Amino acid sequence: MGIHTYARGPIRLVLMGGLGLALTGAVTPAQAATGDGRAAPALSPMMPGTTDPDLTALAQLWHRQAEAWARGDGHAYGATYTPDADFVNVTGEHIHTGREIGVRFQRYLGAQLKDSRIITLEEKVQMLSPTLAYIIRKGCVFFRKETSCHPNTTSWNTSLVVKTGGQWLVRSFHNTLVKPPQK
Amino acid sequence: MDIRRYTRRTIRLAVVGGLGATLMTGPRPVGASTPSHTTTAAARTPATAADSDLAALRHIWERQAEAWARGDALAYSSIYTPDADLVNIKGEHLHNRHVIAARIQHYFNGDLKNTHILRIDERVRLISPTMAIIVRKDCVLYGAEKACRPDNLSINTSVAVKDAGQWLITSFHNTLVQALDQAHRPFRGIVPATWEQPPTLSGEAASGSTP
Repeated sequence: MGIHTYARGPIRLVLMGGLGLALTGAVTPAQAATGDGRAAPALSPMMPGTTDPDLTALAQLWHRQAEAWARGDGHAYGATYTPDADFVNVTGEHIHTGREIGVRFQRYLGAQLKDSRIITLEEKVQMLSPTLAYIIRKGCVFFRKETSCHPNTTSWNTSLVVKTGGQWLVRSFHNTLVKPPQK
Repeated sequence: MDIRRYTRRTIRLAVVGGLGATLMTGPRPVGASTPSHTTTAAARTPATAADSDLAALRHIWERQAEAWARGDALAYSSIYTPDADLVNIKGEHLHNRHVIAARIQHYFNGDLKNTHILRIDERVRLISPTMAIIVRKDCVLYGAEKACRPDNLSINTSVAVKDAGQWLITSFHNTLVQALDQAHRPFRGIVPATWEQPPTLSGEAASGSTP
């Protein structure tokens, strides 16, 4: 199928947008996601030292998103998506087009997502082709001075990222909150 | 990037769980709003191989729905790639076809016994000749239910890949659609200073897609 797994979490990362501070560690690794038969190199775009230019670019794209989010710049956040992007958030809201994502986030980041930032706990990246990357990621939102993930904001999300004109942008993003095992 | 949109308010499907009876009801187009951007894109698409791909992609759901109604997780999982990822509405991440089959069978034997799925709205977007994104709204019908309950309406994104002429799902990610009053707070307890009702998505038949 020509699918190569480039990375497999858990990754303890992290990035604190806006202020440009980077925290490392302290994030609880997620539960094992289930049996994974694939052998995968311990490599991730979130990890320093990545030399693959596409993985580096994908990491930079996430950092652009995190920085835009942290400074409350919804339009910059939306600019990391393709013009025809699809975005489904944890409430099941479907937003179509990068522009609309920017408009919507400009509002959210000034209201219910004010003073928050995004964190990646673990991620897996697969290059489906030289211009298509598939990323599944577990992350959360830190509000204000939080330094650990609250269960109510911890989520799994899937991104399909496309490279056009030499630039990687998110074509599809879908997010689901991780609910406690016993509903 | 070819964009095609297939919207149905009521879908022919559906096999009533276990009994194997198939109901056929005529598909009805969704409401009044016809998105201009998608029709423009569709109009550009010549009737070529893309059409058979789109038909095959739509058929994937039908195969899944039939397997679901029979409670047959092995058949349900057979449309996934061996290394597929599935994230369900509870945020469970199932990785690989075997895990998907085992977990779904567990649900078919329990919470999802005698249920079937109903497709409400589906947008298929070919992003390359061998890859497609499908954004779909559907729900689970219990017993003899014929219509979706608001509390189990979900929206999901599938990433489909074509390998050796066959379309398979390599990623399925599902999220429950929350009622508007809950959707005001996408994350815990943060009360918005101001909140405006989300506008109807431009070019989307959002208002018509919820039963």
